[in-house]
Amino acid sequence: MADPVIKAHELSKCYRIGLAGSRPKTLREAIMRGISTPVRNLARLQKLTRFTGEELRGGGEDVIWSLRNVSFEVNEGDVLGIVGGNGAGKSTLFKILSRVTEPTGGYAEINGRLSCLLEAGAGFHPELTGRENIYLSGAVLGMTKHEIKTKFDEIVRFAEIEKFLDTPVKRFSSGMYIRLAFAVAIHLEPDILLIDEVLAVGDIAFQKKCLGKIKSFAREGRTILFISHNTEIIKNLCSSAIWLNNGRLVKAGAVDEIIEEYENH
Amino acid sequence: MIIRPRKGWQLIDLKELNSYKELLYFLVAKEIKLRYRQTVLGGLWIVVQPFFLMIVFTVFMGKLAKLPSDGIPYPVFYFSAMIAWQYFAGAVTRSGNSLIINMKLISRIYFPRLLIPLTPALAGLLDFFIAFAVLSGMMLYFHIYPTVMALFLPFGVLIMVLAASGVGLFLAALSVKYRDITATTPFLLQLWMFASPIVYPASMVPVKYQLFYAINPVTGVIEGLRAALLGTVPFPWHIMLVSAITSMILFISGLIYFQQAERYFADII
Repeated sequence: MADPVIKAHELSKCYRIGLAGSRPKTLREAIMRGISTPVRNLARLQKLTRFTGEELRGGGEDVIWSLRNVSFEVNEGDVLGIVGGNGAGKSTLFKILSRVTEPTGGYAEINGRLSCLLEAGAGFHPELTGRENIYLSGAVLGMTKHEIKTKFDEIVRFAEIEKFLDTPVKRFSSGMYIRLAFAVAIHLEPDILLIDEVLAVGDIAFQKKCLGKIKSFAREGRTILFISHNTEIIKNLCSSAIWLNNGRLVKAGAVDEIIEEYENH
Repeated sequence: MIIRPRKGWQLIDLKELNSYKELLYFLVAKEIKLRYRQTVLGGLWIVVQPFFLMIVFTVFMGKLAKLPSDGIPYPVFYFSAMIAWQYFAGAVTRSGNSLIINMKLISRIYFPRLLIPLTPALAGLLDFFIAFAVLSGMMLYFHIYPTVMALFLPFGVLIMVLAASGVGLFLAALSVKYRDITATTPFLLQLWMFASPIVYPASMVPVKYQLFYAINPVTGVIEGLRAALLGTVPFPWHIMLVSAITSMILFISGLIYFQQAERYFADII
């Protein structure tokens, strides 16, 4: 059997929460605190990116593990659904796999070109026109100028915004904006595509269109990781699934089995 | 590719940077397009500011305070310094703020973060060259002709870009953690302006302090520019050399600091 395209080994990510200190009790204490504020602020800001050995081993009051020792493998052509409640670590996982942030511990091996859609329109600039934004956000997502040029018409047709190509996107309706953002993203051709909940946008017809596009993507043998709270879509789209809860991997396996357990837990 | 926590010093991945050069091109184009969009004066803004500053300086610093100008008509003397200073101040400010402005991009999409602060430093060059063309026109008007040393101007421009990018990289990386930077930058630049030979010639600084004065890379840029174009003083090799060295140090240390800080940008910005 071929090597997995994604191999995550004990991935962990730790964030600092930033607890508020206690309130001063006396006037004298309040004044002293006021004077020492810069020193305390500096210490607090420096601590943001520094973790003590204790915190890294056992955790502490002021830290949270968004992911803790999560290991899984994805093979080429798999469509993997990721389920879990809010704060389960799904988006953190995507951020690590797409290199937006680095893990605190563990490692992941990626074989192939990977694109991540954490949020439609993140690469857009409101002042630029639709046409300019297609080029800019395409480049931000890793497309070459040539690729964007050849797909330009297809993107415009998919988004149904032909008339507004030269209007700044800040004047777009929110539906138009989202359609264009998704159209650019879905026309990427990575080997591995991470999609986070972006389907929860647009009207029903557009959602169906997007789903169709993702399905045809999967049929071409590309690997897809898909986060959604909509278990119906996951069941419809994915072959396998993993379930995350509070940063830990609860279970990985065939999609029906995982979804059933997730829905009944 | 393996993703793991990075430890210690990191080299800059030149191969990866190279593969993102098209993105750099798009970012620079965006920066230039956006600067004057939905404005009335548009590209004229590039010259409006240095032009009026030049008039103010000519009236107050030149005619009233009677500061020396190495024998050059005041308008040309001031405008030649203003174009370099406008580039420097603009690039440092925009570079320094660039990460915070692009917060959403940084926390959602991966690409080499270095491109973000470098973009304003490159985009600012267009303004610089346009203002430079205006300066050439003024020189013609006053019958001032460049010396043969004008061949060294690209070298001066390089010092200017490296120094501005270096400071910009530091400020940008610091601003992710310490928002004080946004408040500090205008103040820092105000002090810096008076530490540079803009409203006065470098020849006013006592000779024994000149090398010390040249540690400020803007000194080398402006003195070199004035000497080469206006023939104010013999070409100041020693000043240029010191300024070139400091600009290199600023740029390289800026890169190193940025590279170190980059790993936590998405987490705390």
